[in-house]
Amino acid sequence: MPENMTWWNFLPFYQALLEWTRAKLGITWIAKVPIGIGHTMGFLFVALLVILAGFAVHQRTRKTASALIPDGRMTLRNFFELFSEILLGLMEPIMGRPAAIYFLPLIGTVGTIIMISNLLGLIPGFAPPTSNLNTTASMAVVIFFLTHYYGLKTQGIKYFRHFLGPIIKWYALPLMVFMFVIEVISHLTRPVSLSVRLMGNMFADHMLVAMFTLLAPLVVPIPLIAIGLLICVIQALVFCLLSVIYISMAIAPEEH
Amino acid sequence: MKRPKIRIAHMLLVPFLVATVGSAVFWYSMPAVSAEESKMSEPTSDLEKSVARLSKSLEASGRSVAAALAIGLAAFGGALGQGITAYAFLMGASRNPGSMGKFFPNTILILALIESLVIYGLIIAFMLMP
Repeated sequence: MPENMTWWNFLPFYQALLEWTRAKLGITWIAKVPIGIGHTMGFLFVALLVILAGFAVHQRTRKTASALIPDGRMTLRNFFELFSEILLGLMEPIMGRPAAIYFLPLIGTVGTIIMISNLLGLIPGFAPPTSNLNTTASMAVVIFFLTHYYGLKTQGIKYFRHFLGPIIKWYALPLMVFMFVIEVISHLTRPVSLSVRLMGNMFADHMLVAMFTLLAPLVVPIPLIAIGLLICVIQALVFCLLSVIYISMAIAPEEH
Repeated sequence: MKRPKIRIAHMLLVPFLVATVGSAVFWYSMPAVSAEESKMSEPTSDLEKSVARLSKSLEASGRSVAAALAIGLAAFGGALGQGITAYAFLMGASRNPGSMGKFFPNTILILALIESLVIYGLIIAFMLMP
């Protein structure tokens, strides 16, 4: 899977940056090809877009007099308010209202970044940054560490009772050890599954569109790009929903 | 000002930050990495040359079969699972048309979760034959 030509290749400093990165980092570990920086450029662009959008919306929602009344047409602020409402409606049945409000910035940021990164791939000439395992794994590993951090923060050392299974008495020690091993393995596969799911969907979709553009250029890629739109929205939704479920499972108090 | 109590969770943050920053510093301060090339000694006789060619073509054919099997079986099982989910959703919708809107997001979520298992097979196929 060599590095493809995207619009980022036309930036003036791209080639020098690529050679510097290759000299420092060498070969990728999984695919054994020389490293590329297309995904870094795309991800930085998405981060820039999100920061700019945040600044643009922040001004309007701080002045309380004009913040209560929505705008008449579809502006950026209305779009983000709608987005937050939808995410809160997604998170409330799972976590309860106070936790949903607390975690809305995290899930909103992750959802916005993944959605914009996926949509960037539909524009011809751009590769989605999430089609690379580096970007998706970074987000999945952060969510993984945050589940344990918030679990420990809300429950203290009793958080480890989650791992020990249903019976926590001294006579059930073999069962506890067994359950601990199984729970650790299932916890470790969570970031793997989150990252590989998103990366695989985006990569496969992009590869399909590329192959069909080679074979039947003008008409056949159009339904594929339409399905790509559906898939990118659904995959962003699934990532957010699964991370919400993991966090809610970590912070839920033990019920007997 | 009261000092905040240090909790166990705070003790997790420091190793995490150290690991992140340390790995970045480590990788970017390393000198230029030279790609190791392990060269086998050149095949000397005609027998060794033909054996090398045969083994290479056997490996290539094995990889093709493995990649095709991986994606084929994954798609087979995935399509069955998604078909059952769609059947359940449509049966429920036909008995109770008003509840279709309530269950549609959950159905899409389940379809995406099953599809992720198919994508794992596709990743293996791509790793075998890029």
